[in-house]
Amino acid sequence: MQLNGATFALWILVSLASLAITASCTGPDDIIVTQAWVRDVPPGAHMTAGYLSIENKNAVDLVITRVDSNDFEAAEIHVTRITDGMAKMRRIGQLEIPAGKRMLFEPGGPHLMLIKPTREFSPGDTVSITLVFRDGKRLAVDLIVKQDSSE
Amino acid sequence: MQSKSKPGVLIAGLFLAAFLGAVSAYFMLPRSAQAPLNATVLKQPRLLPEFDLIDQDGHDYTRENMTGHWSLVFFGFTNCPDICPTTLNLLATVKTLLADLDETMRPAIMLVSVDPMRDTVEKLEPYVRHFDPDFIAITGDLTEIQALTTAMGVAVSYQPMGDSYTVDHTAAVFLVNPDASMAAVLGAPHDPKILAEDYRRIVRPR
Repeated sequence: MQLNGATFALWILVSLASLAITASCTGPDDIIVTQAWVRDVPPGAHMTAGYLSIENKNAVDLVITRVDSNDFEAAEIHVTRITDGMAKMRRIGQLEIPAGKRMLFEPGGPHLMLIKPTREFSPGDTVSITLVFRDGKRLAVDLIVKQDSSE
Repeated sequence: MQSKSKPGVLIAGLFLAAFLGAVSAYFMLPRSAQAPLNATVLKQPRLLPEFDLIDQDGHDYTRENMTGHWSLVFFGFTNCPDICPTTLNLLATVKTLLADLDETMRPAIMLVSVDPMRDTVEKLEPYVRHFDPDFIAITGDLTEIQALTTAMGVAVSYQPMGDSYTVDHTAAVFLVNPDASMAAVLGAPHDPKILAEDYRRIVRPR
């Protein structure tokens, strides 16, 4: 088959698109997860926070109701709120991502609270979690271990 | 018509010149005359109370240890997965940004545990060193910690979480001067560049 210009352009486009997703995830194509990372657990601590960007390309709202992980004894959704200068962290039972919108899990905001690692890991490794949605959808996400967000 | 607009143009021109002059003058001012970007500077530095705590190496740590140098103080705890590691990493960046200063003008960076019940010396040492080998962490009797938090206006609240608890706490970074007095409050959310710049504007290192 002759490689014509259009096929070549399409190949370039697909390659670039796959590169754009920095963390691998398997699941419905209408949920896009990027920038997934987890902070390396400081010695003496038994928990850490995971962060990611999740875009809901569906026409309906998505609700994350649970987080599963074999790499931690427990995984929950928490949110840090700073009110009147005071940082408060609370567990939230579910997190809604409206149709067409993107939700950012980030330091100082919503984050995954990952409790008691079941194995050792260090910066550069990946840990796996699964986001479970109210409609039964499951999305596996690999989080890259980093010392800090600036890396 | 033309003769009427001339004074208007002249006045506008004078205002513009005056404005540009003021802006230029501001930026030509020495750094010490520029107000901090984010910090709240206390009109009168507030002397910290006496306290009797221990550092991550198990040595006594009192108010006396805070004299002779500037300090950046953050209140947090090790069972805090988000805001505390984020702030400690940020303070490590601030330390790098201030590395050009003379050693006597660089700040000591300190974590005060608001959860001394769980944050023992054994826990704090590897924890705080993970962020920077020079960081200090202090812990001890809750009443001694409370003497410090009350005096510095740090709110602390223990909240049940699952079968354990979390600690709500003031997220500001405090600047303490070489007389062990609170000089400024740098409120959250923090940006390391702004924090470092405010340090320079308040401390005015030569």
